[in-house]
Amino acid sequence: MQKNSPRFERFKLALGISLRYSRGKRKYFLSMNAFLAFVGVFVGTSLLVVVMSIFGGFQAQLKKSIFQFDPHMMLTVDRITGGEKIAGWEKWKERLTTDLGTEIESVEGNIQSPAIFRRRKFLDHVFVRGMDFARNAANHTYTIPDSFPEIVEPAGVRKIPEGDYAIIGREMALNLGLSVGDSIELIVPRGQFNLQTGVTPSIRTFKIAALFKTGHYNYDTKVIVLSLPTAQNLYALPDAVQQLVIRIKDTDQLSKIRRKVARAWPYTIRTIEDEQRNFFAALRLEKTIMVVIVFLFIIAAMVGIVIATFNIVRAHRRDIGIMKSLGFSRRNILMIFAVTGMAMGVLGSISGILAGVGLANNLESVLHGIEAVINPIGKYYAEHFSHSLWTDVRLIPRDVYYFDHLPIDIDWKLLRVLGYVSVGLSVFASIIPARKAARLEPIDIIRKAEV
Amino acid sequence: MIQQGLAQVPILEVADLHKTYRDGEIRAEVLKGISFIVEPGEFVAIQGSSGAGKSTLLNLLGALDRPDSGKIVIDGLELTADVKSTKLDIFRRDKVGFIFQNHYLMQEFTVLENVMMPLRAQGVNKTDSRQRAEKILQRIGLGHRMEHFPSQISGGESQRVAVARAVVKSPPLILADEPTGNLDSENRQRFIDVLNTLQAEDKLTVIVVTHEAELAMAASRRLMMRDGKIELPAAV
Repeated sequence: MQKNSPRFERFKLALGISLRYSRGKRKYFLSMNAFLAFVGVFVGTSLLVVVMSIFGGFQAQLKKSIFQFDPHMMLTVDRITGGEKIAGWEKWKERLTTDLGTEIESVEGNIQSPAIFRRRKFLDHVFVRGMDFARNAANHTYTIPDSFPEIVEPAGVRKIPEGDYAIIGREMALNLGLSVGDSIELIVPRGQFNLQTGVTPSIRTFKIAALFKTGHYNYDTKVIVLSLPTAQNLYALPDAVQQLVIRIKDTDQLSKIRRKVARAWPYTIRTIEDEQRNFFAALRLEKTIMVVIVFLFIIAAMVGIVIATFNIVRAHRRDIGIMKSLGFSRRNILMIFAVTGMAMGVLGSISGILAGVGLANNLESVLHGIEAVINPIGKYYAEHFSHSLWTDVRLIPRDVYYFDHLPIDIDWKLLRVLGYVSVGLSVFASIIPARKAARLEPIDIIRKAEV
Repeated sequence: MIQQGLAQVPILEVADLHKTYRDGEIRAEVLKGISFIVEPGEFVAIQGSSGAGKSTLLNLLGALDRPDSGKIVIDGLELTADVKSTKLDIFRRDKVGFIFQNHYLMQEFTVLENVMMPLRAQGVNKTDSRQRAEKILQRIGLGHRMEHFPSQISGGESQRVAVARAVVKSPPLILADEPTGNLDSENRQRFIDVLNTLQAEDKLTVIVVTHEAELAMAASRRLMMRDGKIELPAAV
């Protein structure tokens, strides 16, 4: 369309008229009709963003706690128990490291075995994990790698001494009243199973060197981490490991890398997804359902746009008659009302998404703010009138949710799709009534109006 | 049918126009073969009792509706039963200015914007449209009302704004359907004065449908309609 051509002028006119129709009579920013539709879309999209972010945050947190602590791939030689020794494991480690190159974070030898835990009269079963920490010969310590979960006590320490020292989960320590420096006892089968003698138990005392926290309750109550030499010593498996564990950089590439590993490793390979199959399936299902609900939400908002645009068309039937009598074409009329509807949808979607992102990022302060408003009122009521339950409201109860802050994870990819879809749907939603407007015959409008 | 005797090309030519409305089983033949010619600069009044088909004729002339048969030629542009709706749009946009019984101003736009609207629809840019609209509003004495909304001015003023809107694009033909029907006698007289002045000064061709004698008297020619046909000219 050429600038300043009559067609371009008519295009500008149509835009101007639709703007006036959305705005009302210069009094408000939006006319009542347009405003209500705008609010519908705005509230819908912003809530969606918040809900999606919290949901995604919880999922990401859960996934992270698992991916952070569990090995991503476990290579063993025995399909059934995984308890067989791997001969020459250090050579295998070298070979896998060179084969897989940059895609992996580490290959380590590792012992993982059940054990009985004893503290005075208390007995429980736990899992012992002997991990291949880097050794500092100079000061007789092991360095805990960055990929290991957070050490909460002593805070920030990334070293444990050589010898019989263990790292246990924070929840286990809380449950049993243990702290750093206390002793615990582990009872494990010594050596390998033998038909004639069975197994001989090995009992040993460890000092707690540190407490870790994964955010996953099962790990934080059931797993005891030792350095590999300490574990080898405990299980009487000198210089041997039961499995090779691989951590990869991009966990989304898990199945691809697994195929690569399978070419080098002729025995059993299990991945974290095999181990936690149900868990991951549940997460995926949750996500799918959430996306479906997201779209239902948007569709509901779009119905709002259709209704509002219909109302605007109905309120302007006479204007349509006038404009047609002035020679406005169907296309001009279509455009006027489609743009009016679209403006509501597009404005609502964009501002809703922005507000949702803002709210999601500050959700914790917002909730604390609400608490700060509710609690003094409840307290005042309790002091002056009668007993009130509303004196210590906590909108984020610490003891119910295992996370100590509200996890928020904004999925920008899904957000972009949400943006496209809601803008696209609002175009569609506004075109339906606009087409109806364009098809009105001036003679019908004028004759009806005069009766 | 009366010819003015001048060797001019007629601005409007209507030939054997028929129109029937159907509502289910009921057929109402409203126009039964209408033919007449209007020369440029004429002020024609069409009179007749209600139901005679006056408004229907005017709607056809204004391209708001299609005839069943026959043809209308306005300023060289022909309009028949099978005309496309895009051509009807162009017809309405460029050939006629319409004045309705109820002023029909767009409520969300100021007086000035309403008068600019026909020019903007033709694709005239904003500055030129504004100048021309301001000029015409000042000529009819509504210069002080330009920034008002239709709800803020009186019925008589609204109807004069409607005249300005019909005249502003200088169309070959101006059509008015009972334009004074809703006005009191004072406003009726002012409306007739405005229309008369503009018609005379700008040599406009005007066709009004009316059953009011005052307005009919202002016309230079009167046609009487009865039962879907045009009768002999009414006595002066």
